[in-house]
Amino acid sequence: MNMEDLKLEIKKVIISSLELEDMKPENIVDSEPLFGAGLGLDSIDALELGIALKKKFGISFSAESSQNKKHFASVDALAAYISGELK
Amino acid sequence: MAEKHWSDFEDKGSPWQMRLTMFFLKIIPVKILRMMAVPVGYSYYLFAPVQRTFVREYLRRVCPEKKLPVWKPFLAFAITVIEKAQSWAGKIPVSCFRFCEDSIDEFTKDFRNGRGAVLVCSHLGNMEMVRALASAGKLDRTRLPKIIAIVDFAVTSNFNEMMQKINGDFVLNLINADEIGPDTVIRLQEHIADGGLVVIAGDRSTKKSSDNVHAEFLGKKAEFPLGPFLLSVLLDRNPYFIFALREKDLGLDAFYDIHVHKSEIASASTRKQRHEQAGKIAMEFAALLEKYCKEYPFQWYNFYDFWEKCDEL
Repeated sequence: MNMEDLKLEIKKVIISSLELEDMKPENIVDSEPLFGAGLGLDSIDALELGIALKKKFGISFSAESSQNKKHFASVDALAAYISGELK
Repeated sequence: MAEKHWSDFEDKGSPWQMRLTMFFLKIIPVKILRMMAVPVGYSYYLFAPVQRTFVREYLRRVCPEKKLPVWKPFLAFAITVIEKAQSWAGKIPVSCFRFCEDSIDEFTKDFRNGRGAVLVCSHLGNMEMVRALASAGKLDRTRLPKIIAIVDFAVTSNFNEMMQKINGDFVLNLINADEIGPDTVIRLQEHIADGGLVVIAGDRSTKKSSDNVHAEFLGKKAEFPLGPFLLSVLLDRNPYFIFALREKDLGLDAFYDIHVHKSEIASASTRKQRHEQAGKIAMEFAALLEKYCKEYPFQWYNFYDFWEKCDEL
């Protein structure tokens, strides 16, 4: 899967799992933060999103680390991490 | 008085206090330490006028007919701190736990079958004693439970390491509730799929109101966090509500009654359904918490305004 397709898939997961009905994939900016500012997701969204991404891409994390958070910083970061995992 | 969230109050049980208590535990016999807890607890009571008000309010709700002594929860709490340290060091004897005829057998069966679970506990009684479940020979002796506890103080990796050193028998991992992200949830899911246990408090609301649910509690709506209950819905596991309550509020010997209640979740496919499910479980939890508050009124360690932001019904 190329990066652009992957990003689109990620955005679709974000929208469907969080039921952001008014949102379209093109409304989500690749480089913008998902949590806090930017898309403005909160901790409850984080729970939902984690499970949905796990289901879709089977990503995993071996240990709790502040590094892990960086992979969820933006669609860009997430795509980079997932593509690394899929290889 | 300005409204304050519970997290604005210093939680007496943070890592450095725990270290200090554990150090005392090494050099002072535990019975003497427990006696020392009496003046320490009483000084909490004397020097915490704000918390005193909240405890008084709570006791009035638990028992409107009679004035209950406000100092008692403070003393009970001081003793609990010592027992917490003892428990972390793996030094609470198995004989101190009394299991009740509830969902304990189901829980044990789940565990033996390698089915992980979400354990929802509270600040009524001693959460640390929940780990009694693991040591009490009720579980498979050949397989130590792996536990991830979600806590409300800043956890450092040093602290996790320290715990490991003190009690290698027990693989306990602490995660700071404030730092839960999608990655944490993925880790929790793997942990549960692997037969691990996740322990989380169900009675500490989050600062953000939309992440809380309102549930009837001791005659007035109170805020409960949605997260812990949503977690069990998302992980598709029936949560267990667990209470470890001291048989005597202030006795020098620790005997704990361990209550285990299994809650049921139904399948939920949409976000809305999941949230409704979680809200329902939260209310169930609140009702059970109320029941035990009435039975063990002095073991309440939420020393803040529990009903903040909710109007009188």
